[in-house]
Amino acid sequence: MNKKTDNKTNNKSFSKVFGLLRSREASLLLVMILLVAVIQWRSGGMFLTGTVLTQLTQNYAYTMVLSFGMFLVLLIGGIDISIGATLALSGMSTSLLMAEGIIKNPLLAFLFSILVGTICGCIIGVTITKGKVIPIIATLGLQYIFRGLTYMVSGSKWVSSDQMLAGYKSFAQGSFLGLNNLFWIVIVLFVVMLVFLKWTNFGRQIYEVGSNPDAARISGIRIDRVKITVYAINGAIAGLAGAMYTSMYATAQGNMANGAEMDVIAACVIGGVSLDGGQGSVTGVLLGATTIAIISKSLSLVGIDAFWQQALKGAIIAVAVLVNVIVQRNAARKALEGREI
Amino acid sequence: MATKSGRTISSVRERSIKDLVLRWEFLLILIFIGVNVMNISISPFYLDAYNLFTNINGFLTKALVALPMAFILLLGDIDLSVGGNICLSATVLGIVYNTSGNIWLGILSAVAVGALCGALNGLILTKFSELAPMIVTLATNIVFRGLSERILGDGSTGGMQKIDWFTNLYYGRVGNMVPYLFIIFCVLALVFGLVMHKTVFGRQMFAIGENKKAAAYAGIKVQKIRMIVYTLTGLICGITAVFYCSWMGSVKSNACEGYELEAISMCVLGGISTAGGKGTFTGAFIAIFIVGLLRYGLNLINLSGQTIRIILGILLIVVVLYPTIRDAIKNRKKAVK
Amino acid sequence: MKKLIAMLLAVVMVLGLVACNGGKSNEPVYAIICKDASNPYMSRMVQGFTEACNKLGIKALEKSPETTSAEDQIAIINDLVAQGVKGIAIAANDAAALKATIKAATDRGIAVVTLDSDTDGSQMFVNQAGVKEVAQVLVDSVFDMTGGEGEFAVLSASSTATNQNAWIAAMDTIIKGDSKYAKLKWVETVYGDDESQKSTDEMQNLMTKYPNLEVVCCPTTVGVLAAAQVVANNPDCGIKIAGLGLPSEMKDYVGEDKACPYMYLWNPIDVGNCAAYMIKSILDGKVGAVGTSFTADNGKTYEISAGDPAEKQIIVGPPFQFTGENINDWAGVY
Repeated sequence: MNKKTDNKTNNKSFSKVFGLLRSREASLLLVMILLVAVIQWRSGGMFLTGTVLTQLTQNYAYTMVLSFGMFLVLLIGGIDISIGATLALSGMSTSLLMAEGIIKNPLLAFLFSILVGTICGCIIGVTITKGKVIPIIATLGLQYIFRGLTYMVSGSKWVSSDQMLAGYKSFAQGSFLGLNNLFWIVIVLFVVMLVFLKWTNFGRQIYEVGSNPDAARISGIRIDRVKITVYAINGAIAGLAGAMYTSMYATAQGNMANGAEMDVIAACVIGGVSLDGGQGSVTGVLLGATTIAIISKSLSLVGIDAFWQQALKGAIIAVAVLVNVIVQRNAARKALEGREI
Repeated sequence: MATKSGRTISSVRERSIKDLVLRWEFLLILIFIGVNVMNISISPFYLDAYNLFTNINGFLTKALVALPMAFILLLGDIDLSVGGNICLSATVLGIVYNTSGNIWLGILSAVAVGALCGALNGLILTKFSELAPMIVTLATNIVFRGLSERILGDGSTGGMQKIDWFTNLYYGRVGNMVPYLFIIFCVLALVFGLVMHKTVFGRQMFAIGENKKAAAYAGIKVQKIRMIVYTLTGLICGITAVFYCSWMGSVKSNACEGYELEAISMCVLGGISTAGGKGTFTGAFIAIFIVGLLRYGLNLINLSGQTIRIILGILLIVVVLYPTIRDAIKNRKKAVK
Repeated sequence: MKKLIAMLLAVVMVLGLVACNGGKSNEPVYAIICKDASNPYMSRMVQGFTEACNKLGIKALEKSPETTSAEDQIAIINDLVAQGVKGIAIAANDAAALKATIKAATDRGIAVVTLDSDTDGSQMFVNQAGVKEVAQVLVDSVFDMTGGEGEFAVLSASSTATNQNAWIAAMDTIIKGDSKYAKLKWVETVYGDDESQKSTDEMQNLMTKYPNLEVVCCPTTVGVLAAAQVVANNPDCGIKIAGLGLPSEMKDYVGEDKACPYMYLWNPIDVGNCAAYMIKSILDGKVGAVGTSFTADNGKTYEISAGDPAEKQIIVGPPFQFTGENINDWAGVY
């Protein structure tokens, strides 16, 4: 089990840590640097500028945040394809309450959105654990329900900019120490996750539940409770992303973030997270999410024909995943020489 | 393993009426009857056979993809690229027809492209068997649809409707009543059902879905079978594309969006677990008609599309919760005794 | 066990009973089919349609497909035919694919008109404003905002959006056809897919790629909103936004010194309203050949022109200009 949890602090064997880095995060970093280099060259130096990078961090902050939540869910061997719908439902209900004048404080708006997301997450968690429904099916069904509720509560209307609180909208445009506020959320969440997974008991339990549920059960971990908590956290993060989205674009539309889950899952997998559970690191996920953001942001910048962009995006995702596998195969072959059946 | 594989278990169970009642198919049949009772009471037009077939024809293109999807899920795999695959195949059909003027060439190339796309999925997934099918087919879905977007740009391809017999593939009916597509679908479903339950190949699929490693040790060529099933799925996508073209007469790059999740929902509702190794084809077959006819009925009482989605979502969750509820009831009875 | 069966049967019966309340009356019904459920523009059109039906003493039905595909619309038309409605107004998601289904409906004596987006087979297209007229005001906005010369770009919806593609094509024809526009440089057409994130990205990338860009023209309500927001957050960029937008959503951005000096749209309520009267006129047999005119039940006289691809069309009115002065009056309406 310890072999699988690559986050395990292994102070003494420095070379081993270095080897792991080389196998996963480093290979991803290499792919990313190559990608950026090509983009920088093809775009005539337009990509690596302050403006574009600020836009990138601001525009894709919410997908990065979503990736952290999805990462936890994938760690326990689950999946959640309803986060786009959860985002829409929480963002929409928050915006509606603002439009009605019930929420008058931007902070309260963020908290309310997180609350709605948490409730959605709890429902998912309970359905999966207590109802023993396979995650992809539970979230497929609940996705229809959450998205439908979004349209229902809004009556197919939008919430427009003038109905939102000024402080709510300006938060997403403001910055602190030269970095956009939304990106600060990403950074804070990243640090919290890093600490949470490495040094808290619960964080370790998540890895254990994902890598070997039977062993986890025997060692006294309450699996259902861990799972429900993880889905609730994921929901809370989706709720947070809903507030980020609506404050960023100053509009709430029923179909917002439709299909965001697929980009987020792709980001996690590119970041080295295994869909079987128990494997992956926060750093990898952040790198994966950044890679997806770079691809989405830059394709139209490098002067590629608009109609090529979709195909290219899919191809890059496929290649990134493949490269990752090949690198890992080499690493595994070296590590497990002779043990492979 | 044999006791867990579902086949043996179900054949034993059938003997007891009590267990028959608790079987998934029984629940599905009950829902199916419920849906029909509802639809009949809603509209005097529902039982009009002509209308009924018109509407059944409307969801049969989606249902066609659900057939191979049942195999994919049975293996414990998933294919999210079917929507993109149909779209690309249909695009190729249109383009080839419009450049060569030969509809047969168009049909052949559409089916070939569909099978090729499926084979590509299979090739990647068998050569790199540790890759999650979900992520690979997610990426190839974007690529397939992206290629179609590249080919069509902001336009569309069409003109197939000029050929009467081609349009009749979808619209034509035997005795001015039963659509050809319906008959083709039923025949295909029968073949798929027989392959799944009555052949060695089908038994091997169950074994793989139950436990890939154990199946491999038992001498089953796991990767070969996966390759065949993915290619078969692609082939059916190509065939679906032909019917889609016959139906719509024009193809845009957003054709068949969301078919993948629709097909998966149908199979899951039919009791085929996405974890693999479980399920019966009859269940999937009934579920296809439940989803289709329920949607028709809800449309007849004029609910909005989004409300219909909510109801379908609830149905899906409730039905997959059924085994858990059933076990809970069983356990409580045992406790009482 | 019996309990379980009884329970399930009860559920079935309840379903049946609920369903009984659903409909089954002999009053005439007109239905309107939207493009999708997500756009407030569509709900305004439905509002107008329903108002007109109420006046005519007809039951109005709103139907919105689950996705923006032609397949779902076909299923809806089939359902409506089964229900025996008298007339259907549809904002088509595809210009060709609905033909056979519409023909099956018209064969049964149902009047089918298109509104917002036309399709082959429709008996009449209720055109919100002619394609050429829309393209003309868009080109003129660009011409005016650039001051007659300079770079401009187009930010559209998705590449499969029928209306937007028609307008963009017509804009191209107009610009190439008149030497007055020779100094306008159309640098690129990009697609925001009617999503806030993608539209924002595309808008920002246009600004990065073309430092001399003066105007971005967005013939889509989602795109124009995203583009205006980007400009509003970068007040120094000097770019102006032209396009088609909903006043209720664009209130914050339209005005002399704001991101969007003025924009255009027609009244979607009027379009829906008119469609209902057109169905009535077709059923009453008032609609004659192309070139003739008739007076509908709302007292207005319409001229029938040749449609493409619909057989006939009527035009509701020219695009309406929204400026800083009138935007607040209209923001409450649609």
